[in-house]
Amino acid sequence: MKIGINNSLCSGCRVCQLICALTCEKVNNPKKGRLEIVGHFPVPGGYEIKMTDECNQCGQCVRFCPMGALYGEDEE
Amino acid sequence: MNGYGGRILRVNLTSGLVKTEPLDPRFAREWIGGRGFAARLLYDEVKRGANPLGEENKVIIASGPLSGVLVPAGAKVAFAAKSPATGGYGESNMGGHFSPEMKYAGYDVIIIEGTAPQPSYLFIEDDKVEIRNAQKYWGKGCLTSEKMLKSDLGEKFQILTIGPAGENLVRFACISHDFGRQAGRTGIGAVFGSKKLKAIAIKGTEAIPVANVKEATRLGKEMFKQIFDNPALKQWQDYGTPGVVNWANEIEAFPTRNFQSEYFEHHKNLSGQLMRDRIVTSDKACFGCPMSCGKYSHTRKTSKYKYNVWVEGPEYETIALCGGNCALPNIEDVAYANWICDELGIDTISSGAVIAFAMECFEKGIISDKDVGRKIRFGDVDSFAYLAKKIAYQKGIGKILARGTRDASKVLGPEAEKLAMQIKGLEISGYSFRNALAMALAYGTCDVGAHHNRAWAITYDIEVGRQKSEGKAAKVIFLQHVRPMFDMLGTCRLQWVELGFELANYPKILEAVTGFKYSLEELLKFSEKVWNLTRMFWVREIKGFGQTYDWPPERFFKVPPRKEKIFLTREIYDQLLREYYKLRGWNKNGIPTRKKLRELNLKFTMGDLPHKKIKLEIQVVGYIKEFFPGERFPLELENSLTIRDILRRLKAKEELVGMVTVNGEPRDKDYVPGDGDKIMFMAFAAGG
Repeated sequence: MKIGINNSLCSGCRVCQLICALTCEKVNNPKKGRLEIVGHFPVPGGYEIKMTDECNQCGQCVRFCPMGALYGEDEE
Repeated sequence: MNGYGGRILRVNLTSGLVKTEPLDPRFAREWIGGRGFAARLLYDEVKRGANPLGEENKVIIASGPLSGVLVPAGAKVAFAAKSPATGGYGESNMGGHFSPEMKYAGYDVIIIEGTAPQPSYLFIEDDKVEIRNAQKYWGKGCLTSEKMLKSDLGEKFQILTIGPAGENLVRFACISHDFGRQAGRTGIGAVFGSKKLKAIAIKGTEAIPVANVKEATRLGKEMFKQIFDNPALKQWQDYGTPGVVNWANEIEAFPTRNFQSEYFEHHKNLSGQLMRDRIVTSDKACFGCPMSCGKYSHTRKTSKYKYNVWVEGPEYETIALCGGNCALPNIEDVAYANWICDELGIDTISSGAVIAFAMECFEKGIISDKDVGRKIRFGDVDSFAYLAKKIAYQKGIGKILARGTRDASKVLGPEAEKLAMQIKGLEISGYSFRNALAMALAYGTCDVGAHHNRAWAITYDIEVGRQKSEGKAAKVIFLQHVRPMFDMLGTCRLQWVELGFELANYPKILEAVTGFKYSLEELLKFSEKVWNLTRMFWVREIKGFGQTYDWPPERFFKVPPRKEKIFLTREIYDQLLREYYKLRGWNKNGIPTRKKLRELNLKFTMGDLPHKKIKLEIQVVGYIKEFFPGERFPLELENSLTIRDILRRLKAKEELVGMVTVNGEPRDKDYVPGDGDKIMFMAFAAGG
């Protein structure tokens, strides 16, 4: 799966980071997730998702992103 | 320790000492976390009679075992202190990302003690903890100072700030986090301010140890999938809590013009649906939450609206209290009012209530434009902004209003007292209850004053019939155990409330995370225990505390405009209260019985029950000893007497005693000593 990103849909919940760390590192530590969420507050608001080079595109983050901000490009 | 950060961080701002203590597993097993930790530590650590804005008050910040792990919205943190708003148990619960961050840094609890000599902030990066100078942030708004701290320290820090209102000790000042999440209620922002604590910045990088990672991950994923499959999810993601504005008006429960009525004619301009179309720019969620009820909004400057602000919200409560209750007629005005409150650092619920109170006082001629400095009126956002600023800076009329409706109305006289919409000193939040008996009882008996979130019983009123009383006391008690259970776990309750999520999910995942096995019944029993402990905090702190503190204002027993009759009467409310006390195992005055305290293993609070005889040791120093029965003597008398009462009993002239210490601490004459206390009376230093 190739992971696509739609920043405008991200709610900053960081489930992706946590699920990534649990899947790839087997630890409950979102800081070990292979992606980052950066907030842009108070102006203009909104979040930015940054994938790191270590991401293996396993797609777990896509399955648990509640907002559709992460999506499988192959499935589009 | 599985499921926990494993440590308590204790910060003394007076001495500058910082220390960490290991979290005792037996303590964790019994008090679970969050609200449980906060209530117990506050009870133990803050001395009876402490001044809420004095050095002796403490703020307990407590995360829970499900915060920061894979459960929906494991994001809740409890803030507890003796409340400057009420004088009783103060607590506020906040979402966002602070609670998980505490645990990644290895802390379940942060205890803030003492008062800093200068404006300070607390810096925490895993094991590195420093009290730093906050002079450059002091005076700045909540959102502004958070942005400054993020620029100075890094985006990855999670930050708490207070605004000018907290610094100026406004009794409903809040703590702000993540550009729009607040620990809003009971004035804990003012406790930060009294301690000269402007902010806390925290970053943690460690994993939370989990007892059974595989099982916890499986259960967590299952919980998320259940939520994804729920047809109501989309509604929540789109509209958040403002989605209920229209409903609250349909059922006539929407606070309008200082609760004079329960239906706002402009409510359609405040609905979640309209808000989404007009001002929402993006969704904003707490940690791990698939429901994203936070809405981020931008109101643009146009010919009609003169402001250009970005704000998280407004949420339902803000819309109800700043919107309907102050009669602001459109969502842009409410968003602006919301932003002002957020930046100044005042709770939008109490602010809306206090400002509506002032508007009605003005309308009724209790205060005039001379007192206020200008004309104010319902529906005018400029009046709102003007008063909010006066309050935050304690200027002019703001000096009186900053005390909250109960105490402000005492200053303004008996006519004003009728307009103070509060219970126990805390302003009533966003659901009127003249036709909702369970909701009335829920507000009356809530453990922090009139707050909705311990038991949002209005839906039960609608479900079984609003006029019915049967079963409502029991339902309120059940809700008061379930919802606070979530606060102990450190997770949000909305998944259960709004999506009908099974409670049985929680003991299972709690076991996988912590290794502690609980049944749901046990968890609810712990919740009951905390409820009784917080009740005992009121009993201990407020002389004469009892059932009169559980009554709503007279206005709620009167028929509002548009209505022919209402269901709430004094007789019915009295019956509901009696039934509630009986089911709780409390006496007719609403005080927990010894039997109940024993049953809940709260024996340590029994000494704080009223009317028990207590033993004191009196010592008299200086020339005044001749006016007392001796220089050093024991004294046995009933509990709950002030120092002044005791002096009267001893037939000693009050004015002879210049200074009083209780167990070595200086106290004023209104202080109520407890069993075993050593009291020393001293003359004024003899001048010679």
